[in-house]
Amino acid sequence: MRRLGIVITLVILALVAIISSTYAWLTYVQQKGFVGVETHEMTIIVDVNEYLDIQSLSLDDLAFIDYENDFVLDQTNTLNLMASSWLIKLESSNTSPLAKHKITLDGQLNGLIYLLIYEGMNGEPTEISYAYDDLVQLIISGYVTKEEQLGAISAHNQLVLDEIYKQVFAPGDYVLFQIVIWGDYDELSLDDSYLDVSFEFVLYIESVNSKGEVTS
Amino acid sequence: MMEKERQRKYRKLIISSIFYFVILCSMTTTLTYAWFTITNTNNANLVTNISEIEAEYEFFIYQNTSRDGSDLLTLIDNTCEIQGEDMCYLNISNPNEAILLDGSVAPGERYSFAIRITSVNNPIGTLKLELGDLVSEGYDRVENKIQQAFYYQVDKISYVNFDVETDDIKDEYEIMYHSDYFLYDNDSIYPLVSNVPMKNEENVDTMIVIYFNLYFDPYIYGVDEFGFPYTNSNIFLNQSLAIQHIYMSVSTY
Repeated sequence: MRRLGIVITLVILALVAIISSTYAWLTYVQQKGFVGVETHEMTIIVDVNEYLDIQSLSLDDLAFIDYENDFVLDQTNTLNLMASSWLIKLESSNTSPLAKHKITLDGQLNGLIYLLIYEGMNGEPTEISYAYDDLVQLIISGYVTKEEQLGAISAHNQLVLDEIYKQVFAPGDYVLFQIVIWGDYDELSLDDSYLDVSFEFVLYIESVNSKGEVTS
Repeated sequence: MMEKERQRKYRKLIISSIFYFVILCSMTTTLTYAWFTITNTNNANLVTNISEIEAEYEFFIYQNTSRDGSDLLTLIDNTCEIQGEDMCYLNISNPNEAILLDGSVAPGERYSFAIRITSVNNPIGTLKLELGDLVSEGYDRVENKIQQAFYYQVDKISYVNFDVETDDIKDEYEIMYHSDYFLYDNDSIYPLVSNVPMKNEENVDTMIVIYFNLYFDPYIYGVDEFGFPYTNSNIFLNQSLAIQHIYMSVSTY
C-alpha cells in the first residue's frame, strides 16, 4: 500500500509539473487602438476692410498733409480725418496646421507716411479704434528731426510685423492689423498732376508651419 | 499462493505506474518545450483568455496646443481634470480603434503619450509593448509614405505606488527600450519596450507607466520619381497615418 501511495504521489507531482510549467510560459496579450494623424495644406484667408479674399483694393481717399503742421503738431486736429486705412484680417483656415505668417510691405512707398497698428489676435473688428493722433505722438516723442521721427515710425512698423510673425495661428485663428497712410506733401514734386498720383502698396504674406522659419 | 499472487499484482502495478510516470515526464518536457517555442514565435494568438495573469492598461494623450510634447513626465497631479485643459495627460478610455489627433499635423511637432499598466492577479513577470498595424494613406509612391517621417521614442519608465512615482528606470533591470523611425516598407510590428519587470525591487503592488512620444521629423523628405530626394516635407501633405494598435504582453517568468 505504501508503494502504491508513492506511485500516486509521483503521478500527482508529474501532473502538477505539467500544469506549472505550462502556466509559467503563459503570456497575456491585450490589443488597443493607438493614434492616427493627418496632414493638410496650409491655407490663409485675407480680407481687407471686410472685403473677403480680395487680390487688390484701391483707396481713393488718400490725402496729403503738411508733415510739420498736420502730422507732428496736428494744429487743426485733422490727423485722424486725413488718414486712409486698411483693416487687414489674416486668418488661418480651419484645416491648416499650426502656422506662422510673415508679412512684408513693399511697393512705391516714397512720399507716403504709413503706420502699422497691431490689433491683436481673434479680436472683434467692431472694437477697432480709428484715432491715430495719440499713437503718432507716442511714437515720435523724443525725436527731433523728421528723419529721426520717420525712423521711429519705421521701427514701430517693424515691431508690429515681428509681433505678428511671433504668433502661432491655430486653425481658424486670425490677426487684425491696420495700415494707416498719409500722403507727405513735402515729398511731392509739385506739379498740377499730384492729385492723380497713384501708389502701389504690396503686401506679401509668407506662411510656414509653427516649428519652421521663413527662409526666403 | 495468495501472498505470491498479491506481490505479483503489486509489481505489475508498480511497473505500469513507472511506465505512466515516464510518459508523463516526457509530456512535461514536450509541453514545456512546446510552450517555449510557441511563446517565442507568436505569443499573440495563444492566450487572450487566460485570466490568471491578466493586466489592464490606461492610455493617456498629452494635451499640448503648441505640440511640443511633454516636459513634465509624470501622471501624478498632471492628468486633465476639465474639458479642454492644456498641458496635461488626458485619459482615453478603452481605445479600441486608433484615436485621430485633432487638427493637421506638421513637421517639427511632437506628441507625447503615456500608458499606465496595472497588474491583475498580481503576476510576477515582464511587460512588453509594441506598436503595430501602420496604415499610411494619400502617398504617391511607397517611398513617400508619411510614416517614415515619424520617430518614436521612449522617454521614461517608472513605477507608481500609492501616488508616489519613481525616477526613470528604463536603464535598469535589463529593460530594453527602442527609439526609431517607422519604415515605409514595414507596416507590421515595432517594439517599444520589453523585459520590464511587473514589480519593483520592493516587490509591492505597483503600476508601471511608460512615457513615449512621436516626433514628425522636419528633415525627412521623400523622393521624386527618379529617386532624387526632395528638399522639404511637402510630399507628405494631405496624407494620413494610423498606428492602429498597441500591443501589451505580460509574460510570466
